[in-house]
Amino acid sequence: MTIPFWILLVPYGVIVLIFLIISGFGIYHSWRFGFRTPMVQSVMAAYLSGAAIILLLSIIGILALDWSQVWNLTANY
Amino acid sequence: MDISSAFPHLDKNEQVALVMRKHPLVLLRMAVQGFLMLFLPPVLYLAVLIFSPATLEFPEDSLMLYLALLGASLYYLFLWLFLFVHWLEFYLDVWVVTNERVINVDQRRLFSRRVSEVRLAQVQDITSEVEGFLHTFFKFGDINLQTAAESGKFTFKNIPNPDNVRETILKLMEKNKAKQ
Repeated sequence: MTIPFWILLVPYGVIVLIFLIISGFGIYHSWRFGFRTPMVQSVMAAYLSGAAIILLLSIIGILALDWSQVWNLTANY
Repeated sequence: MDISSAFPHLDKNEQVALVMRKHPLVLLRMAVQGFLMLFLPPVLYLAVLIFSPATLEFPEDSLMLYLALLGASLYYLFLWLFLFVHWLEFYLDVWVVTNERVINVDQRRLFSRRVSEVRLAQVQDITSEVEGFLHTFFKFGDINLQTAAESGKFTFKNIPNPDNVRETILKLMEKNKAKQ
């Protein structure tokens, strides 16, 4: 029995989606209930930039790997 | 300071006297935790490399490499989110003292928020409390407002300069009383 490596990207994608939803809610929350000051805007910009950098580095790392490989469960290691 | 977006229900003649948050030292503790967690994966990697290098000897196309990449990505994404949510909880957890009332916005978690208020006329007793070495050194502590209302007691934790705040609220209470 073999399992392709790309299957791992499915739960990864779901967890990243949860991250994006919680982040979006947090940004909405700070804007809705926070004081609309330059400080809040700076923190938002810093947060979004940091998240974008982490995601970009992750995508670069993911693209560098060969996801068409398969994991052979029956192989005798 | 424009707080109309945060408290649109303030009366027209209501003037904001104080806007308070917890002492930044509370946030600093969380920042230190986050900073340490930032370096946890590389430190663990180095520890394994030094004490058990054989553990890391797997081929380049090994599943471990793929899992490590995805795991590291999620770890840093959620660490970043953890820091952001803690800052939000710190920033949105706020006390507003006006010439009419005291509003307490208690941001417990990202999805849990409680807003309560008490009229200055209802306040019966106010005490400030500074306890502990750090609290005394950095001048922050708690303020307790005893009210006549059913809600009873308002407690504001880790407020900077609690003695000054108590004095300000007392003065506002006296002015409020004289006005009535």
